[in-house]
Amino acid sequence: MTDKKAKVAVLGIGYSKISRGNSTQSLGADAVEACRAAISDAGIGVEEVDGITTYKYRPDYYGGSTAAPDESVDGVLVASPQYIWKHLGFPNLRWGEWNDKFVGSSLIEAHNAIAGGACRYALVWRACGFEQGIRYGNIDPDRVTGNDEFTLPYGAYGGPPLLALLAQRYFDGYGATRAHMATFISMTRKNALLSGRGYWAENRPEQLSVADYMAARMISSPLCLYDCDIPVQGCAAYLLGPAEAAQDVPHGSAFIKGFAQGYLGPGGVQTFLHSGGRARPPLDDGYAWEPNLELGRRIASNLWAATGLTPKDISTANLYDGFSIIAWSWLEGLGFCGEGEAFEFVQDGRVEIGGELPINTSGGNLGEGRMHGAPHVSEAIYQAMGRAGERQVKDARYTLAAPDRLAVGQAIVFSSEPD
Amino acid sequence: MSNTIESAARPIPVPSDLTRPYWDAAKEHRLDIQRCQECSYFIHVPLLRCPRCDSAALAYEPVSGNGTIYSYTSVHDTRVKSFQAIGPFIVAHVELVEQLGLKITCNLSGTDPADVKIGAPVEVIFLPIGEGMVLPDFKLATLAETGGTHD
Repeated sequence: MTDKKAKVAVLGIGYSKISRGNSTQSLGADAVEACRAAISDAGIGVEEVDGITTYKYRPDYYGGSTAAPDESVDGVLVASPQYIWKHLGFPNLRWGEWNDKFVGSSLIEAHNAIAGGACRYALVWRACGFEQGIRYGNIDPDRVTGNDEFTLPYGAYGGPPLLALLAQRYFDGYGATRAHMATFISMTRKNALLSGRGYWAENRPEQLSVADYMAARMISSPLCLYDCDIPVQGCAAYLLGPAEAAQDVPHGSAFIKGFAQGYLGPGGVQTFLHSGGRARPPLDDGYAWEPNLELGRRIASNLWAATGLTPKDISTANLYDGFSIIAWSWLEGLGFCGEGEAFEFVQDGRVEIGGELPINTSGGNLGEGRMHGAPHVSEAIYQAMGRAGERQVKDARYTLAAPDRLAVGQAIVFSSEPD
Repeated sequence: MSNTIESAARPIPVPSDLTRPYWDAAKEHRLDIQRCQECSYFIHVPLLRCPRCDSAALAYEPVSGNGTIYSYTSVHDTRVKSFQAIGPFIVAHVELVEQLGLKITCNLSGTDPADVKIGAPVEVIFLPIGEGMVLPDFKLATLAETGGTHD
């Protein structure tokens, strides 16, 4: 038996405002603000932070673009470890890294750095922005090379068409419809407005009815406008430390109980941390339902083995929904419901706050904006800390975040107790 | 037809040493797919090593050009500028008959969107897209051709 006692906890959390091109400060300034807030929330000083890591890549860049290299837009469109180091100082920094997958992986890296003794307090952040002055993510290539040779001549580019392929396969295979999705999307907006943070709550506190969803313009069928998260500018940050440090924190901590991750490559299901992200070929099985489900089951079996828990033990789950259908793939993949059952599982209040398994209680990406999984990580942490306000799930002992597409995803379980 | 996929100004592929045989075959109206010479696994898009057995002994081999629609979407709002001038267009993944999961992107151009269904049999067609380049695409298989079997 492995020792399942948590070694590391999230001690602090910080946010900038979430804006959409209407911020009076740069993304870099947002990141500095969120990072300072997380450190302060943990009740420590900057000089005590001796580890840093982030996933820095731009949400508005899928390859095939003429986007400027990250180095030239540091502090404007990205916030690198070097940028944060420069602006916060960290006189005692011992460990720094940046990784190739979403913020969930950054959190896992920070956990391992602390557990392995590379540092004591690690700061993790995710800053997301997008290029202003052009239509979001537009590209205009007349020549394409590499993997793009097999997709861009067909106009197959960006998130919506690819995730629409995943969605259509699911809809067709199991009998789901947009009406099933509508109740789920309407709920995530309601949760987002309860939380008070994120794009919609901070800028446009508008409920989204089922009728609004059904009438929305199509982006890439069956995905409409509200199946896609809205691009925003902002930053979330987390301060991690050894589990024993939780006793010095003035509020609850979120102990990291365990995690698992996976990757769908051209050779099929893999569970090691491959260089996923931007390097993978475009026709891997990442946008095919059946391989996603197979990978989800693998991640799940590793996750439940690592934590000694089962899906029934999870009080609330935050499942990636940068495009809505992904949340359903996690529901089925992790075993919260059976194959082909997610679209019915999310009906009848079952996944609402107060329901059998509340999910995305802060609205996820759809509710907070295109923060690339930070909403899911944040909310799982707030719930485990017992700081979720009106959204607080009763007796939230174990909370889960799956803050990326399943095909390149991670699942992390937090605990309100060190166990 | 000025508002359909046929009139889209498609980005032109610039082949590399790795991908040139695919495009050269298309110019001759043949669909060639990379295949591992050690374990016979078909690979698309092309790679430097077999993702199954890690062999570097890869070669292009002709395939039947027959498959089924694995999934599809009607794209109404695209980030690719040259496609913004046209109306909604289909992007589909076709699964080739040669191997489970062997998928290829296409537009099913010329096919009535109402006829686009998951599982429908399709066959390859070839579209000239300028500068001497030819793009493989697919259309619904004709009845006579759906009865065929392939290795």
